[in-house]
Amino acid sequence: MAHLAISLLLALAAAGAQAKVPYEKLRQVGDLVTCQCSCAYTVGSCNMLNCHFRDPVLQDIQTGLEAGQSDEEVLEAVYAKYGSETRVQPPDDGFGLIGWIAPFATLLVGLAFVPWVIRRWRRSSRARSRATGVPEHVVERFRSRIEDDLEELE
Amino acid sequence: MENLGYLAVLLAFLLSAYAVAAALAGKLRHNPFLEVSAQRAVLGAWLMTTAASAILLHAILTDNFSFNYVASRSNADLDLLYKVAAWWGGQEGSLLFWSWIAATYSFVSVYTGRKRHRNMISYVVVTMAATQAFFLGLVAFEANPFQVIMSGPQITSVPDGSGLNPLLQHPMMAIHPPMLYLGYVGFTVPFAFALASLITRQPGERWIHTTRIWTMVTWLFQSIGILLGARWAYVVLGWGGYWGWDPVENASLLPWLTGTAFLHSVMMQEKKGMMKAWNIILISATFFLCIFGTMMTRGGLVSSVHAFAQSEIGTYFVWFLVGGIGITVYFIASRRDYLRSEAELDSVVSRESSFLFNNVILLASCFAVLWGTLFPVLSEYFIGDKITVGAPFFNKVNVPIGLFLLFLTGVGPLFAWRRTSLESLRRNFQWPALAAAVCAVALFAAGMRHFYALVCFSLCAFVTLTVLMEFYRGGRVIQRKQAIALPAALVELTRRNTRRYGGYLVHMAIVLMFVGFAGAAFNRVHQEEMTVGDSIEVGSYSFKLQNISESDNPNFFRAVAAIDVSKGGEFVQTLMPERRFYHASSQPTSRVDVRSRLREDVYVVYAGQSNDGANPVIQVYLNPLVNWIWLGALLLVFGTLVALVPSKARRSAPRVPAAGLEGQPVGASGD
Repeated sequence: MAHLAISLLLALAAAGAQAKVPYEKLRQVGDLVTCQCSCAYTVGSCNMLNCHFRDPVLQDIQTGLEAGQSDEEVLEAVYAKYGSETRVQPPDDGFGLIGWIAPFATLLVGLAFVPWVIRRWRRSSRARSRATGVPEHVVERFRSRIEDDLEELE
Repeated sequence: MENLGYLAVLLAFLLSAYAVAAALAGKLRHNPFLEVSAQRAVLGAWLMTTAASAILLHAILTDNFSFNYVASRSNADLDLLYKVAAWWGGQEGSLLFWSWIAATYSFVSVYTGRKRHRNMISYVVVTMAATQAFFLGLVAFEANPFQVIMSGPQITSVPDGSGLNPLLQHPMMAIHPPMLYLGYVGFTVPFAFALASLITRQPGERWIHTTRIWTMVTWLFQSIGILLGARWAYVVLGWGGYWGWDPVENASLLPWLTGTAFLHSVMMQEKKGMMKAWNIILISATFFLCIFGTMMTRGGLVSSVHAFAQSEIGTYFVWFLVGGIGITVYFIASRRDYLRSEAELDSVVSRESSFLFNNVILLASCFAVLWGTLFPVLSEYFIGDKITVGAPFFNKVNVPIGLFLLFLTGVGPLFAWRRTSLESLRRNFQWPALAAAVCAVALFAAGMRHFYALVCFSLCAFVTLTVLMEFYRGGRVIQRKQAIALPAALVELTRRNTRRYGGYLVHMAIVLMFVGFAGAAFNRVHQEEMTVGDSIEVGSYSFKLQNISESDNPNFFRAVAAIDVSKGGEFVQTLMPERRFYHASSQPTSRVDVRSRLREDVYVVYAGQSNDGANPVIQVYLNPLVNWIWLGALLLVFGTLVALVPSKARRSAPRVPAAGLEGQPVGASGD
């Protein structure tokens, strides 16, 4: 009896098991839909027992693919049916576009910032050289020697 | 016992608060008595936190289920190791565990640094004790692990507990959280020293050395914690991956990225007196990201499979962050003169600029992770629609950034400090660039068409050769000078500058990990409902289900599938994935079985039963090169330990202004 109960509890709906769509394909598309069963994975990766969310979504994906729909069409239908919280990435328009742009924009601003910092450092370096009245090539010679010595010490 | 435990927590909280007040008053009023008293309060707080922890641990180990916490996180039949792990398995216990680690760090850092950093140690005490008091306050007033379920003379026994979450019942999970906490909490120490040095305008480099060592130690713990978490996810969660870009995973990565940036840029300050302000900002950001990450896990800001029970404590974290950031910004702003650079840059093509790029990339990556993690919250706030962001987004954004970082890992060591001549560039770059090109052509000719994988493998070849050349060149010089064998010369070379060559070993570890990451581009997966005797083919392997065996014990029931794996018709190994059902918590889990080789992992999951419950559903994953990640992890630990060992003949020369510059004001520019 106990084993029967346990077997029932262990029963996992293997939606892809009898699918005409290859499992790898089902998994690939399913990995673009966030599971809502609190597992924090995608419906392709969710391995919750009898997941109330994964199984119907996989069934919808399978039906859509078998009907000849493209991956994008299937996914848009899923997002429309189950809500935008099932997306795994922002859409390419509206606020979603900001989601895509912001990381790369930050990177570009950062990369542009580096030459600016370097220019400032170099300018102050030259200014200091002029302020001392010591010719640049003399300062340079001594600096080189110090740097070489420091490298040796490493 | 529960009263004693709670009393200990309260006393620890009061002692920590006293330490803050006494250290501050002692410093401001020049009263050494108060300063010493504050240091002793730190010791007292540690003793009280240790006592409280010991009482809770005793309750867990003796199955004292009258404690609400014990009843909800442990059960009588739990293994000893997991009973210990129950200490940090829930919100209240983990906050106490956190407080105990914070108290231990405070005690160790204050008592090892009080003579060396006599004139700033009181400010270190203030920061450490304030952070500690914050967490102890949460334990005392919001998440008390000493609450009892029931009491009174008529209560003689309490039924069994509901047990620890089955997913946490894995040896890896017994080590992963403590390591991560050691990292998270540990970053308080370098932050405390950095802030204290800023407040007291410390001259010289001594405090930087202390800060750097503490940062390396905590960075190591954080790295181990993250990697153990990845390994645990791989072998326990049964979805074939090791990193899901879950908010809590991301939270651990954020301070690691800024901490890594700090470990690089602090070299600029030590060597050249540059980037002082930047370094203070980086180590402060690292500390606050640790607190922010903790808030994400516990405050209900984002939902995560790893998150603790939702609670109201998030508000307290917000206030702590606002206060801490405000104070830090005030001191940075009010001490701009102290933070001015002492030296300047001579050339764009230099080690210094490569560090700058390195920092930008690491911070961009940090921002991308933070942005993606918070995007659901932001989208809900701005457009009223919660847009979830998962692995595809993080991979698309972070893969190019990561590859750029890998490139810089190889390029950095090829540049000289200050200026690199074209001739030197050509000489240093030719062989690594050739290796990268050969690698790319060979892989393309072999049929590899995955763009990022091709770039990644080529860059790995590039970085590997740069690191090997660094060792070889240095080793050859010593070999010639001392007439010893090359391996001995390489050891000698490393011992002479453990920090530099330990760092190179860590770079090699990163290369190994990137090889493993790139392997994921070629993962294969197959799922099949099988009956005993059935076979399936995946890749060049054949999998035959031989039998299903079932067994039961007081803790869990399990069903084990015996699957014979063959390759090219030859038997390779029997894999035994299992499905468990834990009685106390009524929760099922999978235990995967993996055949690990350098080339690939054969990873088999007993995913569940078919719809009619008659047959097992088996998932098979072929994960190429994943083992390289764990090898890289081992090398990373080894390399960091090497870097922590003092160099053999330690000689140091104080930085002095170049000839002709004496008497001139330093700090013509900021960072």
